[in-house]
Amino acid sequence: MSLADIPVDETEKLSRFILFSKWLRSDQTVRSEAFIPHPYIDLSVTRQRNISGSELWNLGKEVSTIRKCTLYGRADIFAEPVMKQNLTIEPSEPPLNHANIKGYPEDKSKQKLIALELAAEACFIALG
Amino acid sequence: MNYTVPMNSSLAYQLRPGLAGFSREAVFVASEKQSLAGRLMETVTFGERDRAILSRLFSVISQTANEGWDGYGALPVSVKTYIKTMEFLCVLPGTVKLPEMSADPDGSLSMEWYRSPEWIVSISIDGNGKLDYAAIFGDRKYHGSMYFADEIDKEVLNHIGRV
Repeated sequence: MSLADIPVDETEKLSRFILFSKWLRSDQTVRSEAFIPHPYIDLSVTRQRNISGSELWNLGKEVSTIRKCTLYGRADIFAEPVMKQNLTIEPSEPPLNHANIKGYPEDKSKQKLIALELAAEACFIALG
Repeated sequence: MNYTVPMNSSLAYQLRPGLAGFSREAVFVASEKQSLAGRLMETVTFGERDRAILSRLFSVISQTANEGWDGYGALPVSVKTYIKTMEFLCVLPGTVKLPEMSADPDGSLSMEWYRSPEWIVSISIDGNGKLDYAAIFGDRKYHGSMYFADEIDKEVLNHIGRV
């Protein structure tokens, strides 16, 4: 079932796929670079709502295939801390369950601070 | 183009561009400088830190030198960015630990000093020397932008020193 018309709830969990080893520290925490938007000031995430764990991983594998990158895992984060940063999360399908985090400031130092705070809230799940 | 790097670092000295001429004497002097820098690199005092800087930079550059390295339009990390970052690292006081390195998709190099997610400093530098930083120390949060030239801003240095 498509979530395209269903607004993101603050209790929802979102995933940011980890495609670079440099986005992770040796202690398996997520670095802020994973939450820096580029080339637009939107950040792609996948909603975990209404899909199974294996479906979620398949979406991650599709992304890594398209981008010709290695899928290391995913950074899971609740929508609430994202919204607390005055960012919005807008459904944007296809692909299935895709959403964009919008509202990043243009100023890079502000983006970095937001990215640090989001990374601090994120939990890394390694590809099993 | 000349880069003004303090000469207290053998690495900065060795990699400083624009110094060599084409006369026999100039070539000889350049060769002697390279040799001296190489010998300094071999010393424990200068060498280990400089080698660590090079190693960290190379590990990032090797993955990010081409446009679209993230498969999503990322800009490559340019030689100018690499040199600016090296200049920054070379003027860091020797007592300050070296950061972990990464790249931003806009082609900047990113440096991170990390104790925990709530005690952290992150700095990005681009090829023009534009420096963007953000820092978190518990409840206190900081961010700012400036241009790096020769010296590291005291406030930024204080932030780094707290980690």
